[in-house]
Amino acid sequence: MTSHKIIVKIMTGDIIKKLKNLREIKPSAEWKKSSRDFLLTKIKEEKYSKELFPIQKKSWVLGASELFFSKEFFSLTLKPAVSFASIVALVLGSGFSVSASQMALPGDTLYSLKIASERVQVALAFKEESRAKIHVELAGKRLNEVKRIKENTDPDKNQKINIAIDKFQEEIRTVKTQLDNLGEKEEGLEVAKIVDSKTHEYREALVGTVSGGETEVSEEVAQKISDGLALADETGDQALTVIAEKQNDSDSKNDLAKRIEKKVQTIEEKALQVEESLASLNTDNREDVKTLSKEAIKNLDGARVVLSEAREMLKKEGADINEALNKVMESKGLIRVAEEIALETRASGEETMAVEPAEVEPIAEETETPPDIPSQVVAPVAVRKISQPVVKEEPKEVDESELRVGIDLKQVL
Amino acid sequence: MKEKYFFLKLRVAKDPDAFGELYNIYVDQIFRFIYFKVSRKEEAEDLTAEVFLKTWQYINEEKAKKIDNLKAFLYQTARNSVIDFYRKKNPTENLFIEQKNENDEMEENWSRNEIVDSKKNPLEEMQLNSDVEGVKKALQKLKEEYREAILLKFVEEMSISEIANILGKKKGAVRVLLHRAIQSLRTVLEVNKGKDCP
Repeated sequence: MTSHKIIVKIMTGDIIKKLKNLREIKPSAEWKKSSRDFLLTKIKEEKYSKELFPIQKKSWVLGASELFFSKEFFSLTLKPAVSFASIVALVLGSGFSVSASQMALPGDTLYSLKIASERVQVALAFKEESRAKIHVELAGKRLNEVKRIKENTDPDKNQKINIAIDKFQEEIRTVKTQLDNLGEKEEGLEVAKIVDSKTHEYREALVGTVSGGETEVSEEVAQKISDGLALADETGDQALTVIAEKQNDSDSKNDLAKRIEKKVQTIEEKALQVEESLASLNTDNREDVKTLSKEAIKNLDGARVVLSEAREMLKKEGADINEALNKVMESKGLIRVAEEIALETRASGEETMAVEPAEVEPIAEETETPPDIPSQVVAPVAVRKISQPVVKEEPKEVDESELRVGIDLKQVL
Repeated sequence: MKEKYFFLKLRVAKDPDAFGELYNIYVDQIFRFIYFKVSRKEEAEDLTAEVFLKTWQYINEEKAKKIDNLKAFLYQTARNSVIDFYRKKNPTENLFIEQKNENDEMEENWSRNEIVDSKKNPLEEMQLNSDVEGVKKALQKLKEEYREAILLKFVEEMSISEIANILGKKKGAVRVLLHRAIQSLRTVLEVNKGKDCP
């Protein structure tokens, strides 16, 4: 080690110290505040207007014309045999092919026919509420398909489940839009009631797909299913809100209270699940996991308190049901946050466990000196300067690469 | 830890206030990152605001891919915004840093007094001023990717994996980049020193 190298080494430490000073470069406090205010106003406005003006409703004429320009229709016309069958089916309204196609699953030749005939069914429904009801049924059909595919021994099972769930989501999205459109009308109530009851069924079916059966679904499918669950759940909430807005007599109040009670039960089940998943997290040596799961448990406890308040409210005579519903939704939001934290923490925990064992202590790097530099000559301060902040702020990030930067620099010098 | 919590809240509930909190956490570093690319305070401010707005809009798009790492996403959006900015402005101007001479630099709005938000006493501040100025000048002379790497590693104190994530490079490539960047910065500083005291 030459004296030149030592000088250079000290210099690098100095450069790094100076570089740190660049943190002093900041936008002015006034700008930060005004820009934040502007940003928040703008995004709140956007969020609000999106909620107020959802996607425009489709007329049945548009629905019918969509059918004739749809991918399914064209793919049918390209297949002469099926196309002939479809023409027969379309003309006669019901034919052998159509009834045979009702059992078709994604990937089957007749599946396109099944979907096309369903579209005809929708297009022929004159009123929006009838169309909404059909879509609710169709969503159920898609889940039925999922169940049947899962029971099969098909090698492309996962791919087919994916298709069915995609279509399920399409149906549910349409139902959601229709609920929005019908919201103000009288007919909205009836549809909302059906949607509310059905979403519970959807939930059970979807959960069953992930957990039931001998074969496991792929990760991608599991993700799809959880997206589908979230969507169904959201739609259910929306239906419940519509029902709550329309309750006018004591009968409808009782009905609503029962529906909310059912919702409370599912939320409680969910809370239990999240709690179990949190309890199974390995928090040994992991301060970040500990802090996050504490945060999640805090949310969960909060959710339970709000939920019990809602229950109390429901029991009371002449209760403010809307308020109870708000509380139910609030607790749901808290549970979702807790759930995400649990999932995220588990994922990051597994990742770090796989990549780098938690035992990597920061001390290791301080004792580690490259062979060509006698430890008493090296300015250890500089070495520590490079890596210390990383160690302090993100213990899990201390990996081999970090240590190597320290060494790299020494070798450069 | 706090940012993780707000990020989850944002992702789950699309909560504008959680986004506001994340803005508070990241605004300084995103501003710095952009400022070192555009050199003008006003432009850096406009672009920073744009980055946050774009990010919010992305999060709210129904079919958008889920963001796993908000910080990396913000940095990537910042990079793209700067590229777009130069493309719109003048296709040749993005080479300005390498091409400008020192007089031009003086004219640039690099006046640090507007930027450094310091609460130190005047003497300390003077020292800090000259330190910051020296390194800043030297950084300006570096290649864009060197400057980026140095900024992320030594100013923002990020880990190699974080930097790799932001720059879209492999960890090994980032290590090499950093190694060369620091070498290059040292050379520039030595030359500058030589100029200052002949």
